[in-house]
Amino acid sequence: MSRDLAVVRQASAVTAQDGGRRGFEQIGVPVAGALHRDRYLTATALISGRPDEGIPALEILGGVLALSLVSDVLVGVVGPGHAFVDGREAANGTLILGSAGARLDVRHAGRGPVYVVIGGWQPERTLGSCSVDTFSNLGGGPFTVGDVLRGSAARPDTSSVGRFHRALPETSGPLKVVGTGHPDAGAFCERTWQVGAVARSGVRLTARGWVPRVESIVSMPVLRGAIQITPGGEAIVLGPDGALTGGYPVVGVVATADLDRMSLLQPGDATSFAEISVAQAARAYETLRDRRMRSLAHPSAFS
Amino acid sequence: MSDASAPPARVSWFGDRAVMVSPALAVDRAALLGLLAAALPDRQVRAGMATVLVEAAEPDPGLLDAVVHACGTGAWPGVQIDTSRLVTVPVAYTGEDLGAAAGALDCSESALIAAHQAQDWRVAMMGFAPGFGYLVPDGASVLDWAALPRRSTPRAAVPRGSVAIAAGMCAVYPSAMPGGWHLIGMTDAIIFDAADEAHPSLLVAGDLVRFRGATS
Repeated sequence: MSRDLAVVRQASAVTAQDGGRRGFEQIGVPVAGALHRDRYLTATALISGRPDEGIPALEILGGVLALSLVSDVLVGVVGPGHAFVDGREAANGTLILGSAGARLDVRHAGRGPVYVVIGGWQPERTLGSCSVDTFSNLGGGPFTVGDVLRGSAARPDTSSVGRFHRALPETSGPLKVVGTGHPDAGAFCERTWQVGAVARSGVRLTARGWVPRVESIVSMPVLRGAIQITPGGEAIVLGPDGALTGGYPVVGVVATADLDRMSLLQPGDATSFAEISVAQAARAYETLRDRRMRSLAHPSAFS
Repeated sequence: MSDASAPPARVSWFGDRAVMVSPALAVDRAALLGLLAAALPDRQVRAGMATVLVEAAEPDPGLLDAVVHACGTGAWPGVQIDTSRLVTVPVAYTGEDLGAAAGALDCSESALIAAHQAQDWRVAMMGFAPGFGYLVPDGASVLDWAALPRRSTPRAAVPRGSVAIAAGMCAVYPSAMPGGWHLIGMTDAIIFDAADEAHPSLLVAGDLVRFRGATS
């Protein structure tokens, strides 16, 4: 049994996302999934009490999301935005009960995505995931006015209302990169890069005075975080919706621990990179994972 | 068969959760693909035109050693292993670039059609889009396919099912998308079906593909 939970009244740059579409990369299907994994997992923990890649979330990259609630639902908002229920601000990172008939407005304000979780929401899944892939046209498209969120007819469990989780504080400094053996990795990391276009498929960068080496390579598999160098002198850091094969040289791959930080970049930003070893990158990832688990186990520790 | 003094493959990190395997001999790539996929079932193993990427979901400092170890098993260097499936794709040769492609390849349209069907094609790599396979001539080339470059101006939308050739390769468009290859025909075969979770893609890397004439 399913029922209508909410109707979209306003949406700009909002898509459904979860942990991603895994296991089909070898036939050319990108993983997609939440751009900012820590914020997304924090939002899922509001609903299920633990990080859960199967929980769908609305990913807001800018502007406003407005929903009319049709049923009583649990709602959680994580990320740089303000949530209002019938005009009254609701606390970020706190599970609330939205009543049927209420209006939920979420205004994006800050860097990177905001995640909204709706208890019981069950969007359609394609190849195991609800994630909208903007590049491959899988999972439908961005939300438009009139879209209906459907889901479980079960009554919301109000005992979890007030549950509180906060995403980890963002770190600063150069973005960490693991080399691929390409001889220009060092030169790439010495430059300051200007951010151009930003999309879920990737982030484009340029640097003054950067002249790419002339080389010819055959197409190879690539993955999220790979830094491609185009013959025109641009660098492209692939995002979750990025292509899985590429014919451009790859000077390095952004460390998995820093992928969330890529989603904070905006056109006009200046950014830089620093090369680290695989062992250092693995430790950075473990540290991030431990901090996330501690934060979720003891919600007050970072408040 | 292989040169004992040269390493049969270079294995190197590609970021903190993937390892790139670059075999010295092109013939070994297909064997490595099957070998690594079987040896590392919980990893994603993907083919490039000349390489194989092994990818973990999370950073894994032990991945390089695991891949090197897996490469040391099996009798692959210099050995042609063919465990691939044969996929036959029906084509109506009605593509709007057929004449221009035949001209560039210095043959008649009917000779191009005959050569395209006589050629054995191999899926070298999947990518660009879900279900999109890069097909290269397998064995002797029936025509000098590489003599036909990509179109100077890509099309904004190539129809789903289009059969196209360019730069020594052939592809069947799994859905409508931009494309710069020459359209020689159309198939009604389902190339990619996201609703079919068990077998969403008609083609996988390593498959042998033959085209057969069909009426549209």
